[in-house]
Amino acid sequence: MTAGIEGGEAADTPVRLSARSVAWRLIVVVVCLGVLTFAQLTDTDDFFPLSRLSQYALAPGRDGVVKSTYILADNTAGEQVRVPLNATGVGIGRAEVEGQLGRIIDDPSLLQAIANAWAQLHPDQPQYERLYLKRDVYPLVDGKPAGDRETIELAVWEVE
Amino acid sequence: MRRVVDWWITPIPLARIALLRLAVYLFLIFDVMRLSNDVIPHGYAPELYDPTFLARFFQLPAPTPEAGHVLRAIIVVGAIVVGSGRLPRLGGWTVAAAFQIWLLYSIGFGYVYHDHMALAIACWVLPTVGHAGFTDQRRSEGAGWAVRCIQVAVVLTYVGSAFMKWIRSGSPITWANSSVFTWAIMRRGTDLARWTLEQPAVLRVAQWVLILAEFASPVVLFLKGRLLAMSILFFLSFHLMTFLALGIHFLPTAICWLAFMPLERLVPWAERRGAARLWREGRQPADPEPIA
Repeated sequence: MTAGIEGGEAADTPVRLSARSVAWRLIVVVVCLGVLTFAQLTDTDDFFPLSRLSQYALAPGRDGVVKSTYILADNTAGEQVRVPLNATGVGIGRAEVEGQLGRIIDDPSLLQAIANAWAQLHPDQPQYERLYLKRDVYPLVDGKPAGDRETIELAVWEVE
Repeated sequence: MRRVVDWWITPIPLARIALLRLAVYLFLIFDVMRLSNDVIPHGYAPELYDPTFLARFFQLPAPTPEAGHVLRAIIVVGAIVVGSGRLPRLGGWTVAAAFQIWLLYSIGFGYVYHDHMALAIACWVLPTVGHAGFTDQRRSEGAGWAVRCIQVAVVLTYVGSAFMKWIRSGSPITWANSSVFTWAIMRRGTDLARWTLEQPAVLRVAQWVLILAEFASPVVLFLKGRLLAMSILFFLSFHLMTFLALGIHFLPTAICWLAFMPLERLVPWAERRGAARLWREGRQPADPEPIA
């Protein structure tokens, strides 16, 4: 399983494409490469699937901080629990909350959507009464985690 | 110019398309069930819908759980039909459109993942080839274009990622010397990886290896034989490592590495093996046992 694209033993003449078929295929290639390049240069995800390939593109300094966002909930069982930010929990992931962080801080009522999703996906479980959007900040010293984390409360929402 | 055009439509055996289809469409079923499986739950939080360009352009409303179930059914049934070699165009376009909408609903909530670029493109280009039999060794320019598009999409996933690191951090050196792997492992590292937090130098070496490999990745488009196989193995090992360390598998890109492999040899190879076994057992392969 090691040959290049020319693999195969058939000696017959290849099935050719017409000039028009070649032309539209190349136009599609050029347009897609153009959109993908534009998405990188303008740092945008808007043209998915041809979006910026920015996963892990950030470069935190060796003496920087590591931030992690999460949501805690007071529930009807009287406990404080961590909201499972994933597909099988509330359906909304941590990265999605972080991606819309500004929008949620400006309008904490959007957290109601998280409580609603939990209620519909897990009707038999204790329900959320109050949600706390929080961020832990861990300091780094010379590239190593050092010192205590700082916790910041970004938003609170009383579930309706 | 002629050479560039010829490169994009280098003829390849149709059998490679047939096997690639089988693998890609079977993978789609796994993908919608286990990887991009947030579409149906997203239907319960429509307030957080944050559509990207294509979703706005086609005025796709916020997803509902029912819409998610319908899309998933279309993708699963379509994938079985097209993967087995039937309705390559009509079925293929249907699956491509349904999977595209599915992905727009998966990434339309504030986070766009980047491991699906090559797979999404594979879904759009495979239907252009039309019928392709599993043993059809005729070489076709149309098949060559489809496979080339998938190969280029795979490579651009890495190259684009290297350039974004450059753009975001000002220089590739800044990124390679940063604490980005520490950041990743602190946020989502597995128990297998947490020891590296005390060894930041190890992580920086890994960062250098990664960004150099990403910049060098276009070379695989021109490699053959053993070197190509070793390169594929390198990138797949990298994905295995990030899976073990961070739970990030990149499987949708990994599956598209199949476009680099001479899959068309698989069926003849299996047939030869089968024939050889029959021979060893003292039977003529061309002379099957009579039906009792």
